[in-house]
Amino acid sequence: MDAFNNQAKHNTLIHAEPNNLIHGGKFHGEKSPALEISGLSTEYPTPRGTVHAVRDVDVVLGKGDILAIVGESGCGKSACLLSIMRLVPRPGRIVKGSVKFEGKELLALSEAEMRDLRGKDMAMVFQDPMTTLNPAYRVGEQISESLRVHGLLSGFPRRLLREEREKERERVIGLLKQVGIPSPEHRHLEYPHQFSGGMQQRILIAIALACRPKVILADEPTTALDVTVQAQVLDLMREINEELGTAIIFVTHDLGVAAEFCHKAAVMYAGQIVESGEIEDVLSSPLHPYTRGLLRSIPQIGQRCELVPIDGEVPDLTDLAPGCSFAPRCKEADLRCLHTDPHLVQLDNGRKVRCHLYT
Amino acid sequence: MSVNIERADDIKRHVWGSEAYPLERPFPRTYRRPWSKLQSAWDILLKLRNHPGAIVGGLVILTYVVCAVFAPYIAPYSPDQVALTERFVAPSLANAHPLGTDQLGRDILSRVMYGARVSILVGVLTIAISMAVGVGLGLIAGYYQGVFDKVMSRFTDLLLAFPYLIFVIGMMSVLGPGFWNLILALCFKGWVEFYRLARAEVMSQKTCEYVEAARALGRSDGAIMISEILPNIVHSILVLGTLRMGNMIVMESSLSFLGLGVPPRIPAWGSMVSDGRRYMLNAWWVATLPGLALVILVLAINLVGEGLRDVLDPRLQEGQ
Amino acid sequence: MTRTQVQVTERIIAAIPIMLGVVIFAFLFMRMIPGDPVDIMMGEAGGVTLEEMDFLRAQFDLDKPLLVQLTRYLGKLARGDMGYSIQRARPVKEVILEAVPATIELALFSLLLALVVGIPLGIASARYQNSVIDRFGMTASFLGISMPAFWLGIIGIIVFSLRLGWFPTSGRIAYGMEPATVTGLLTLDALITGDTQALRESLRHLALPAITLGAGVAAVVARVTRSSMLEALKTDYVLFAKAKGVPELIIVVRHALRNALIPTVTVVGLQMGTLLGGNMIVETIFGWPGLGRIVVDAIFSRDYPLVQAAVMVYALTFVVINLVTDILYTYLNPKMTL
Repeated sequence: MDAFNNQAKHNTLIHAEPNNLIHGGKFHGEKSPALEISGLSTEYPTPRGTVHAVRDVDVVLGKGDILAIVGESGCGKSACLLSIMRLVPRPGRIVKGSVKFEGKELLALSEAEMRDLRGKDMAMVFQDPMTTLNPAYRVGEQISESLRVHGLLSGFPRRLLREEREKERERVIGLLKQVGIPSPEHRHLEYPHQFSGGMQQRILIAIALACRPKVILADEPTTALDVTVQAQVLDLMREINEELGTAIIFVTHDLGVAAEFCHKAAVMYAGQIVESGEIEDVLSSPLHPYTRGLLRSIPQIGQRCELVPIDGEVPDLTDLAPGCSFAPRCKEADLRCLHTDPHLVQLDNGRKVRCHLYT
Repeated sequence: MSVNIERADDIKRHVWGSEAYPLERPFPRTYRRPWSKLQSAWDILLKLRNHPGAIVGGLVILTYVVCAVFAPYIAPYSPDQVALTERFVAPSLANAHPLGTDQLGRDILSRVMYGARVSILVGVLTIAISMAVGVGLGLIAGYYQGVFDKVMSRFTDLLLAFPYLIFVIGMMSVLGPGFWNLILALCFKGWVEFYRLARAEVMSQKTCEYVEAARALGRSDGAIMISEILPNIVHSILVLGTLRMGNMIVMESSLSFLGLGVPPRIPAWGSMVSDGRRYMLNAWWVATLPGLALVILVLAINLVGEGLRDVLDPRLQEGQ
Repeated sequence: MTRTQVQVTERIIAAIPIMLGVVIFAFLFMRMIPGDPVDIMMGEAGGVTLEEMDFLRAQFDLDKPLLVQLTRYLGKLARGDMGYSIQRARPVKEVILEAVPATIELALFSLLLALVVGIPLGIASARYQNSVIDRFGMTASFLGISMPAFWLGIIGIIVFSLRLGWFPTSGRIAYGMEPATVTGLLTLDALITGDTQALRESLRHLALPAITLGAGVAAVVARVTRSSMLEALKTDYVLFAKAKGVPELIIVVRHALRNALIPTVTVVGLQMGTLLGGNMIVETIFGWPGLGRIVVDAIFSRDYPLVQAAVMVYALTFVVINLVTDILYTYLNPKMTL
């Protein structure tokens, strides 16, 4: 008992007057947000127990913002995106929370309404374009499909008319041109396997762009690509963001890419958002021990410093111990961290952190 | 030839034809499993515990084998004992002939028990011979490739161009009915599938590190094939063998049904069904019950085969 | 020529040596008979003069060296001469051509049945995995693959013909009925000539044999379709299609099934071997006047030229079917055309 008290006192001594930090911040989004996620939790029942893939996620995506969700593999980033789209594969399910798209609660929509919204208002770009494009259909066909299902092009019987076909062709070629595919008038008739990885990713982006969505959810869209191709794809997405004002959630495990490309960052660990804020703030003065560890474990250009890996392993999301999920790996953890789960604390400058050091 | 099956996975998919292979998550094939690490029969039995179908199937097979082996002691009558006064006795548990009697008053239960001998023997022998020939040749062809492999591939393509049953019927029509003729005809084409599976598996194993390592250590080709590669592919072969045994038994009965299998004086299920056809209207049991015995045995074998496949092929377990 | 056409041509050319091999195999078949085939054949027939036996020997060229025999055999075959059926005292070609339409009709209906039952069952089982439909479908198909055709046929006759009297026990059409023939396929002919009674009768006669023959294939097709659909439904492109807002039905049919059909087509091609083999059994049980029954008859009357020719026809058909599935495969799988 004594030891516990001592530890607690010690903690408050180091981080003096945290209260100032909490109340000093002003609400970040002046403009109304495109996507507002709060308390989102997703579970997958498995024979070994329930996997808590997404736990109590709060994210706000302003209009025209690019938000990076950063974290190690297996921390629930992809599950988070799928939950937003309500595409969690069975038997997984969203257990609680709310996802508001322009003020509309998505979790309350019917499946048909949701389907109407997918691809039209919110589009998704996946990690591996090779497996994401259907190998059996020409790319032009796959691009026009989302236009057709959302009624922006005519469906089956009318589609056979000459002028409809011409219209479809033009739209497809226009989109391919927009994402920088050379000679689109020929290539829209080719099959996915005839394109390189970078080109395939551009096609995925073209499909995502087809209906001019307001939000694009990108799940590690550059991970499978070479570095130079990666830069091209990022440039393309930045252009889209700047010209069309499309808000983007960009899931990545690459902090470098996030720093270069995104406005805001949310760091995810074990299904939870542990820290969020403007990207420069998060990277220059990381608050959460996990973020600090993450930054120390990657090399920085122009600096020769020692890389320090984070000890320990990502926790099994099946049986979660009480307390902060990072505590077992955290050098600064104390007894409180092992017993109670910290809340997300609002700090100055729109930053949030989930750590007992700041409460 | 025409059929596009070259990879071991494709062959298995066709042959085993039921489960999804998670292609995006290939099982790492760089492990080495020497003979000593091979799952013992006991381990496999323990794992089969979770497959109720396999257990039931195993018990049924055991019953059949016991009946077949001890038929002279267990069977209530001699299979050839004619009793013209007791023709077409209907099956009933209450009377002396639980499965009834046929057109000559012979006890169907006894005949079914004796019939099991032919079916089981044919099934076991053909699979054993086919497996030995196919795996042996497959190992050599897959390991050395080259001319031998090319010639063998052409030859197997040719054999595969004949539908199995037609091929066997054709051969039996030339050879004439007879137990060993039947075995020969069934094995003549039966080894091809084992050959193809073994060859494809060897070719995929050959590039694995453990084979490279063994070669670097200067082990002979024969030793590498038998003590390094074979233990790693034996499970697939066993599964295929089990699943094919049912087919062999069905084929044997089909031939006996046509009168092309074992000589008519030996009781076999197929010929019993064939004989019973004439009395279908009045005595349904004469034709149907021997066939039912066959169906139950084949079902049991297939259940065990599927259970073994789940236990022995780790890739499948992942996929489920 | 496009790449696809080149590939199709290559495949056709690759099938030629196989066909030649089949023909040579069939030729060797006669020579595998232990002893003098003519003696054996004639021993059955009885009452044949020595001159007739010499005539037969000359017909098979048995008195010449093997290579000469082979070239002469091939030469005859090229001219469409398949030999002479001793038992029927007619050219083999005629006997076979007469029987083929009946066999084709039965095989086509069985295949149709297998596809119409197997594919939807496989799709439903995969889409509703572990549901009642899945369990029922997989149990039924498990029974289907374990059940020999001859037993299924006999059960069918006992239950549906003898007990319930729904279907006739044998034959292609009611006794005494002789509808006009155009193609030789009675159902098709009845459709063409508009003869509803003939259509009804021929369908009634077809039902049991087609079900017996098709059941096993349907079971395999259902299992393969289910497994490849399960795989396809788990892919990224299906998830992506959902993210595009594509309706479920279109996803299942257009995205998943289209890709799942690729393995199904291969397996259906291979299953045609089972269908051709089972054809002999089923035709024997149901007295279906097709090639299979003729072969079985011919075997027992030791009519070797007929058996030889029929086995060859079966094998060549199988090769051609596999060639067709292969070409279909090329068209279904765009990756093959690169």
